[in-house]
This record gives sequence, C-alpha cells and structure tokens, in this order.
Amino acid sequence: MEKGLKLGPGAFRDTAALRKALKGFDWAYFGSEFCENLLEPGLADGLRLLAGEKKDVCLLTPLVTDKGLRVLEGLFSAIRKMRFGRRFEISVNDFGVLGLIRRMRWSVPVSFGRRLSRDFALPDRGGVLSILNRDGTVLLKELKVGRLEMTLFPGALRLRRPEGAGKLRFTVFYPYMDIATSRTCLMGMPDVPPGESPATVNCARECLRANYGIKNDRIRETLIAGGNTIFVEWGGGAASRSRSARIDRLVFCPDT
Amino acid sequence: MRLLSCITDRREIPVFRKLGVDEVYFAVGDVPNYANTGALGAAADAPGTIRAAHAHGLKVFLAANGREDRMRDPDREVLVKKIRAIAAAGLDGLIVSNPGLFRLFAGEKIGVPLHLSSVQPCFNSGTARFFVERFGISRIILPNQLAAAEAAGILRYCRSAGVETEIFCYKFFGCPYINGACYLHEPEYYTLSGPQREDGMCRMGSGGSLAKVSPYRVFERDAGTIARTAARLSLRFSRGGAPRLLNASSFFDYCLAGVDCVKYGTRTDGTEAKIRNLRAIREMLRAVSDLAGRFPPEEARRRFVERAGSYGEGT
Repeated sequence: MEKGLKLGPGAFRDTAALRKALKGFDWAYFGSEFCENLLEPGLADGLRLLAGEKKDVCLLTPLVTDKGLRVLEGLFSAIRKMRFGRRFEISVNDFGVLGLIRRMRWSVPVSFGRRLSRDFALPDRGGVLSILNRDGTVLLKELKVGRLEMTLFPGALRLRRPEGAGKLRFTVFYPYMDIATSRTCLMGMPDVPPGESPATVNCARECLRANYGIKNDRIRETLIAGGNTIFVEWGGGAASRSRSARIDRLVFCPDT
Repeated sequence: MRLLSCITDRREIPVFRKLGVDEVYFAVGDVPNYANTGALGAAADAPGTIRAAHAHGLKVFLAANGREDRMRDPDREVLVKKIRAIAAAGLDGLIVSNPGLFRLFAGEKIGVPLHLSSVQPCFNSGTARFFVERFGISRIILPNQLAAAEAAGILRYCRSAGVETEIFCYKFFGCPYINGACYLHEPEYYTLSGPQREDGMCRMGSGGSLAKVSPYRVFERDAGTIARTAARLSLRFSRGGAPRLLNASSFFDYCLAGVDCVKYGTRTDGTEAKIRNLRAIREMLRAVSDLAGRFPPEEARRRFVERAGSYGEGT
C-alpha cells in the first residue's frame, strides 16, 4: 500500500519541517483540489521544491472556469520543463482540464479527483464501493484515466473488488469526506450587491489562515469548512485493509 | 429567448402554452433522473406526453440526468430499450449528466439530441468542447454558479459549434452549492439529529439556531480575520448559504449575451406555483427585451434590477 500526504496551506514555509512531515510517505499531494482561486504562482515554486525531493508527486487541480483553465495551461507548461526525481501525476476534477492536458499532447498519468470520480464509482455507508455503470469504465479506459480518488465510510473494511472495475485503481483520501462545494465560498467571498453582475468570484483567501468546525443543531457530526468545501470527518485507517478492492494508495489529508 | 418549463402533469401543457412556454421537459419514474422527483408516469407513458406536447406546438425533452445511479448490465439493456421507444415517439432531446450514459446513448445512436445537464456542470469552454466533440451534444444547460462574464468563452464556443445554451431563472433555483454534487441535500453522508427539512439541509443552510463555528486548524495566526470569518461562516451556513452569482443583474447580462433558453425547473412545485413563476419569468423576458431596446446596457440593467422584486407580483 502506497502512502501519500496532502500538503496544506503554509506547507512550504519551513523546508526542514516539510521534509520531516513527508518522512514515511511515498507521495506528496499538492495543489488546489476544489478552488480555482487557489491556483496561484506559488504552486509552481512548491512543485519545483518537491521535484528535488525523493518523493512521488501528484498535482491536485480543481473545477475551473476559463480563467482557471488559462492559469493551468501556464502551470502545465512550466511543469513540463521540470525534472521530477520520481513519478509525477495529475489529479483532475474537470473534463476541460483533461481536454487541456490531451490538447497539449502531454502523456502525464491522470487520475480523476474526488469530485469527478463520483461520476464513475461511489461508496455507500454499508461499506460497498460500486462502479456506476460499465460504460463509464470503458470511457475511463478511452480517456486513459486509470485511477479514481475517493473517500470511504468506516464500513469500508468490508470492501471487495467492485464489479466491473476492470484494471481501475483507487486512491483513498482520509479522514475527511467532501460533501458540498460552492464556487462562491461560504467563508471567502464578499456578498454580491443585488445590482451588481459579478465578473467572477472575488475572495480574500481567508481559507489560507484556518479551516473551521461547524456545530449545528440538526447534524450530529461536526462539519468542517475547508475553503469553499464542506467536509465530514469519517475516519480513515479502515481502507488500509482493502487491497483486494484495488485500493493501493492512501492519502492522509490533515487539513482537509 | 425561449422559455422552457418542467411539467409534472400532462394537463399543464395547454396551460403553459398559453403562458408563452416554448418547450417543456419531464421525467418518468423508471428512467434515472436527478433527485428522482416529480415523475410524470413511467417510460411507457412518455409517448403520450410527447404527443400531447407536440399537439400544442411545444418541443419536449426527457430528463435522464441521474448522475449517480448504479446500473448493472441487464438494467442497461432495459434502459436503452425504453429510451429507444421514447425516441421513436418523437422526443426532441434527452437531458443527460452521467458520462457513462452519454457514451451509452451516443454509441447506441438513439437518434435524439443530447443535452448536457447542469448536474454535470460545465464551467469552461474546454468542458463544453469535451462533451460536444466526444458525444455530439446539442445543448448545454449552464450551472447557476457561473457569472455571465465567466460564461463568455462557453457562449462563444457554443455559437461557433451550433450548440444551444440554457440558463436557469435566478429567482427559482434553490441550492447554493455546485449543482449535482451537493450531499447536504440528503443525510446519506451525515447523521441527522432530527427530522429532515423538506428542502434539504443545503437550500437555506441549516436553519434553526446559528451554527457554532470555531477554528479547527489554524495555518496563520490572525485572530481578527479568523473571528470575522467564523462569524460570516456561521451566518451563511445557517441562513441561506454562499452568495449567488446568478442574480437579477447577471440574469440580464446572460440574456443580452444571447443565451438561447431560460429554464424553470422546480419539479417539486405544484401547478399553481408553476403558473405564477412562469408568468414572472415571461414578464422578466419581456422587460429585458423592452429595456435593452430602449437604453444602453448599463442603464437597461439598472432599470431591470430596480424592478426585479416586482416581476410576477399581482399576476
């Protein structure tokens, strides 16, 4: 079982601490998984630093508008000039981003991220991981996407290899499960005046300072707001015993 | 600009036609559709609905936009049979969201134009291109979380590719989260401590008392900003959700940008509510056309927004 660590805000402030944190992990997951406003120039610097470490690296990318697509095109061009000591992959959450990678004739391995994977496979609370339909699996093969990322419920101990999965592999992110994402961020966007036609999502990047626990009288679990996404903590170690389900990579996400 | 409405009862067809509706769409109970609500009979009843719509000069579409339904191989064959039968009755379009089902319907050559559901959100021109080139879709229903200015590239691409575009009316759209990927709707991913709200946990936030919000992990010490953000989060989570990009002003800009259709799609509304809301949308579309013809865009938009609260009032 491969192990990964998802790097959160501020991970690059202290290189020694970063190296220490990455000890014991094969993969460094880095980027912006849910929000295009966090596709910033610092990403290329971070990747440059990681390229020099003896770690496999996966770049996380979000759902994007045309603005984000342009940013990613620049970032991808910069990455293609970098030399990674070990494997490099891209996690994609938008079909437009996949199209961009293919148009650039870039043969980088692509996995579908937590948002896009739900079009193809879903876990349920009973612990079963299902492939939604075989046409989706065939499509993934045609698109040369061989890996889906997801979060599982604790019952995942009972997981068996999902029927119809073919050669698909699964990465499990833990301990938080994303349950709702909003482009217009609950925490980081000023209210839009009624008379204003917003040009885009303006935000002051408050999410880089903290994430937040939300206790609410209608939901038993503490919800966690991490940037523009709401998460529930579902634990995690369970999936480590599910190799037969083709889960061969676990990614620890301490900051969501 | 054409007006498209959901129907959940065949008797709505002539009434909606009189209100100026140009197109209708419906769902049936045995074809997976988003939220599986407001079904108008079963697939076997669909040809009758199609004939009724056509008899009134309306185009008619079927929602087959269940994004996360699990489908074993035998169910797949049954689904294709049903869709073929409905297509043969003259269906004008099939609204789809799941990529596997797009592949299935495009590959089976069912002979019906495919529409990209907002439940599979298209936020950029690359995504539009992906679905057009791979599956030959003929219409894109834009997600409500996209500003009119951000949609410019998609609209440009769609015009050049001969693909129609559709938006929701901002007044009648509930969920503030990314459409189709909101799991606050149903308590499958969390545990409710009381009865489920009728409109889910997402539409108006959690309701009830204000949520208690506190820093969970701090990355950068800035007590002032963190306290302000926590207060904002508490209010937004409990009272209405994140800000809306699709407001009256943005709706006006979309209309001016040449979107082809506006959709009223609240299948859970009763007929009386649908009539009231369709009248309001018709009034809005008339106002857009009237104001855009008489004033420069800025002034026309300002006047449209000024009157936004009154559309549909007293009708």
